[in-house]
Amino acid sequence: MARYIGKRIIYMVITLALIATFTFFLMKILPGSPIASADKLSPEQRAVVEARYGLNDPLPVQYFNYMFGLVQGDLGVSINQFKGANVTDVILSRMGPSAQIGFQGMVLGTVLGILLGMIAALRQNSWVDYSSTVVAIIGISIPSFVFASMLQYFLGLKLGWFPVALWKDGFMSSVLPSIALAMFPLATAARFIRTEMIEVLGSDYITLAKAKGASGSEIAFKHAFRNALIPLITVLGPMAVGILTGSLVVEQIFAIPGIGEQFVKSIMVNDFSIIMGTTIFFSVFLILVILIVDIMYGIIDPRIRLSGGKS
Amino acid sequence: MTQNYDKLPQGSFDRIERDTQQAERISKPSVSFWQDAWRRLKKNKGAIFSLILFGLIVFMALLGPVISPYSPNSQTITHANLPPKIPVIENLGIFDGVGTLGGKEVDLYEMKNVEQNYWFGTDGLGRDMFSRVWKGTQVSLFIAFAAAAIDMLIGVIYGGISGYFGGRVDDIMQRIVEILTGIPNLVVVILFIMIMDPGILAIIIALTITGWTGMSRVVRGQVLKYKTQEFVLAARTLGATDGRIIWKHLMPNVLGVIIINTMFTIPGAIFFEAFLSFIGLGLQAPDASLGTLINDGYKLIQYQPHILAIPAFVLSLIMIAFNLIGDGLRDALDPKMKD
Repeated sequence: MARYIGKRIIYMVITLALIATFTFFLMKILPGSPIASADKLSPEQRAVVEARYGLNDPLPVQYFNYMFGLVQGDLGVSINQFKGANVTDVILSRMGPSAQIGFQGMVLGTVLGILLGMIAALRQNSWVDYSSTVVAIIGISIPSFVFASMLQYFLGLKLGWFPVALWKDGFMSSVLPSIALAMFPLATAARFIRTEMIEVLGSDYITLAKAKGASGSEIAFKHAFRNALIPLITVLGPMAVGILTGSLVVEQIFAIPGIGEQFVKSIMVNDFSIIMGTTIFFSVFLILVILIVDIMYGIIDPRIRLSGGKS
Repeated sequence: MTQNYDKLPQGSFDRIERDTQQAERISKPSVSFWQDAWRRLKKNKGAIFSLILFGLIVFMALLGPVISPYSPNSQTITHANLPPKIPVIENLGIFDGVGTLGGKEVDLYEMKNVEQNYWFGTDGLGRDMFSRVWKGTQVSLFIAFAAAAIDMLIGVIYGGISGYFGGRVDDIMQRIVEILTGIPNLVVVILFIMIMDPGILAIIIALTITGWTGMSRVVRGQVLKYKTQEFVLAARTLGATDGRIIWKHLMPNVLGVIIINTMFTIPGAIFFEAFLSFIGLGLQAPDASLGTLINDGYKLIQYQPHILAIPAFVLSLIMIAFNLIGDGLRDALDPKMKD
C-alpha cells in the first residue's frame, strides 16, 4: 500500500511539473500582451512595466523563477486585472463561493442520486424505476449550462422564487447554482447505485439473509446498500471533474464571484498569471481528488489490491 | 401413471432410426456476432427510437439550411427578434408569432409588417433562426464526429501497439499515457484553444490532443486479453505477420469496444464544443455552432427566450439520443449479457 501511494505521488509530481511547464511556455507564445492597454504606453513606459514584472529576463530565468515560486505556493502576480496582487491571494479570496456551491451540489446530487438509485433497484421495472432512468439519462445528457439557464429562467425570472443572478452571501443565492451542479452527480450516482444494487441483490449472501428470515428493509439497508455503496467511490473522481467543469459556466450564469468566473474573465482579458495559476490550481485539485479516491477505495474495500500482488 | 401404449391408435408414431451421421449437424442457422448484436439492439426501444431521432436530426441539419429561404448569415434588421411562427401550428396558440413587447402580448409579425414566416423566429440581427440552428447542428456534429474519428484512430493504433508488443514498449507507452490522463481534460482543452486561431480545426485539435487516451486504454486491455489466446498462436504458427494478426485476428474482436467507446466520445465532444463556445472560446461570428447559438441566446434570455430554447433543445436531444444509442450498443455488443 505504502509503495503504491508513493508511486502515485511521484506520478502526481511529474504530471504537475509537466502541466506547469507546459502552461508557462504556452502563455509565453500566446498572442497579446499581459499588460493592460499596452499599445497606449510609450516604449519607455512599457520597458519600465516589463522590467518590474521581470518580463525582460531571459526565458529560462523567468521559467525557473516561476517554478521556484510554485514550489513555495507562490503563483506569481496578476499584472493587468489586479495591479500586482498575488495570484494565490486572488484565488484564495474567491474560493469560498465556489467551494460552497460545489460542495452543496455534490452532497445534494449524491444523496438524491443514491436514494433514487436505491428505490429504482428495489422496485425494479416499476414506474419509479423508469422515471429514475429517465432522470439519469437527462441528467447525464443535458449540459449544466442549459440546465442552469432553464432554472434561472423559470424559477428565477418567471416565478421569482430565487435571486436571478445576485450573490449576497446568502443561502438563497446558492440554491439554483447548487441544483444546476447537482444534476450530474445525481444522474451518475442513480445509475451506478441501481446497477450495483441489482447485482448485489442477486448474490448468494442476500439469498442466505432472506433464507434466515431477515426482513426486507434489513436486507435492503444492512446487506445490499452497504455493499453497493462502496464502488460509488470510484465515480467520485469523474463527479468532481463534472462539478468543476460545470462551475465555470454556472458561476458565469449566476454571477457568482468564484474561481470559475474569474478564470473565464481572465481568459477574456489575457491575464496570463491568473490563467496559469488557476490552471495549476484546478490540476492540483483534480489530481488530488482522484488520488484520494483511489487510496480510499483500497482501504475501504479490502478485496481490491492496488499494488498488483505485492503488498 | 400407468402406461397404456397399446391404447394409442396405430400409426400415431413412427419409429425413427438413430443416425450417428446426423449428430454433428447444426440444426439452427448460424448467427454471426453482428447479426446477433443487431437482433439484441432491435429489442431496445430507447436505442431504436434514438437512432431514428438522430437520423432525423442529421437529415434536418443537412436539409434545413437548404430548404430555408433565408441564408444563416444574412441580416434583416427590420425583422429582428421575431418569435417563432409556423403556419397551421399557429392556430393552436403556439408558434404563432406572439411575443411580449413592453409587458403586453402582441403579434410582432403584424406590428412589424412582416409577411414571411420565420419557423424558429429570428435573432437580434434579424437572422433566420431556422437555418442558423440547422447550420449550427451541422457544425457541432461535424466537430464531434471528426474529433471522435481522430480519437479512435490514434487510440486504436497506440493501444494496439502497446498491448500487442508488450514488455518495454508497453511500459514506456503506458507511462506516457498515465501522465497524459493525469492532466485534466478541461485544462488541456482550454489552454490549446487559447494558443490556436479560434475555429473548427482548433476545437477539433484541442479535443483530441489528450482525448485519445481513453480509447487507447480500452483497446490495450482487449488486445492483452486476446493476444494470448490460441487462435493468435495458431495464426503465428502458420506464419502470419504481426500486422496481419493485429488487423485480421485481433481487431474484429476489439471492434465492439471500439464502437461503444466512440459512441460515448461523440456526446462528450459535442458537450465540450458547446461548453467552450459558452465561455467564449468557441467559433467566432458569423460562424455558428449549437454552442455559440446558445451563448448568443443566453444574453437575451429575459426578452427572447426562443433564441436560447431552440438550440438548447436540439443540443439536448442529440445528447440524449447518443447516450441512449451508446447504452443500447453496449448492451448489444457486450457478450457477457448474451441471452
